[in-house]
Amino acid sequence: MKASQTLHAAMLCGLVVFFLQVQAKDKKNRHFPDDILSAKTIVIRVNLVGGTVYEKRTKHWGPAPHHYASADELKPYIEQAHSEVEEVFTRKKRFQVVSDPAAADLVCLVIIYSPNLGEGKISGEFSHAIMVLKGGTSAHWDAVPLWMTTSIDLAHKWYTDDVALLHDHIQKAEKNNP
Amino acid sequence: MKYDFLKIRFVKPMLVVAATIAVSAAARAAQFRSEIYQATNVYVMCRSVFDDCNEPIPKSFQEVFAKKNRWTLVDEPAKADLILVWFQEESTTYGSRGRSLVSDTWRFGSLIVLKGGSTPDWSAVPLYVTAGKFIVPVIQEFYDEVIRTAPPFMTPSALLPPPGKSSTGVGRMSANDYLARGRGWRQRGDLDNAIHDFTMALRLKPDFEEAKIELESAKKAKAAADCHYQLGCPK
Repeated sequence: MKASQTLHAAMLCGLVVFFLQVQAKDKKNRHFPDDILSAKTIVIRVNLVGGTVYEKRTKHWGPAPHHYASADELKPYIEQAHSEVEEVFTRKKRFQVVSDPAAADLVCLVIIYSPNLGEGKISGEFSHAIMVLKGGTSAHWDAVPLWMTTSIDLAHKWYTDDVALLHDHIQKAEKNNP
Repeated sequence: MKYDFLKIRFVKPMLVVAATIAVSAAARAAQFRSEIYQATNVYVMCRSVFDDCNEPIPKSFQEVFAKKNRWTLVDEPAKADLILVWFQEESTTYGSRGRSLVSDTWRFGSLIVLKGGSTPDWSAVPLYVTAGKFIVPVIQEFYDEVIRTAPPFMTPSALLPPPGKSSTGVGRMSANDYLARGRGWRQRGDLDNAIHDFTMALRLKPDFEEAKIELESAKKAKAAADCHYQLGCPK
């Protein structure tokens, strides 16, 4: 009898915890920034922090010759990452990608830390951070990020996956607050 | 006659060249954008969807800020000159080495510096990004570098010498000027220069009570800093 009472109490506690977690999750979604939900245009900014350029392998042993990327060497890779991120936004059709941050509702800042660069590809085990900031059209502008995600999943999660994650979060928030 | 000729033909151009070299050297030494050097108020925040960031300004950060005295923490982003966004991530991977299971934990902390205030400046978003294994040393290193490389002409007005006075000390300064400049140095975290200026103020006006108090306080702070704030250090 006593054991079954304990079991019931434990089950009740479990239910309460589950209910509270669901509530907390809902609350989190409810607080998704209105500035993002009401936004229509977005500017993409890509920032490569560091980066190692790997040249073509000239020998069959040891690492390929490499050096730290100069600002000029980073440029084509920044453009490449920009077009990859833009492709996600275009595919998702939620925001229109524009080029002038002063006339945009949002700014999506993509920061990629120390990637490997070579033969026109961004690769390696790198970390990234994605921030969504208010654009120039905001009535009460400040630089505080509206949304942010980071990943050090060592190439298991690409920055474009996290741009897609932003869209998922928006979709969930809109679903909860039609 | 000979000296006049030298003054006109050589000394003045040489002075101009020397001044140009000094200014360009200072500009080269400045590794951050001017907004970072001129900042006095900072807003610190932690943002991540995976981490709730219950403690946006951990105690260890507050200690870093309290020690340096250059930046004041504010709680409104519109009032801040800089917004410091930080995150700390950790990821563990598992693998096998022979018959044993091995795990490897990656830690990554980063600081992203954005321009604060209520007017956007799109020329640099972000102003600066730095990263390392743990976030507290990353912030500490960034702060130290800002103080170390700050050229005098990019220092916040509140930390500069009184109007009309040169930061190099050229010109006749009164005891009050030395006191004000000493306070500026103190605020900037430069205790050696602060002690020097308070001492100069007292030399010019030996009964200057305020300078006495400031000198005593700066000396105590210097002793504590030299002792690395350990237990038993002078407080």
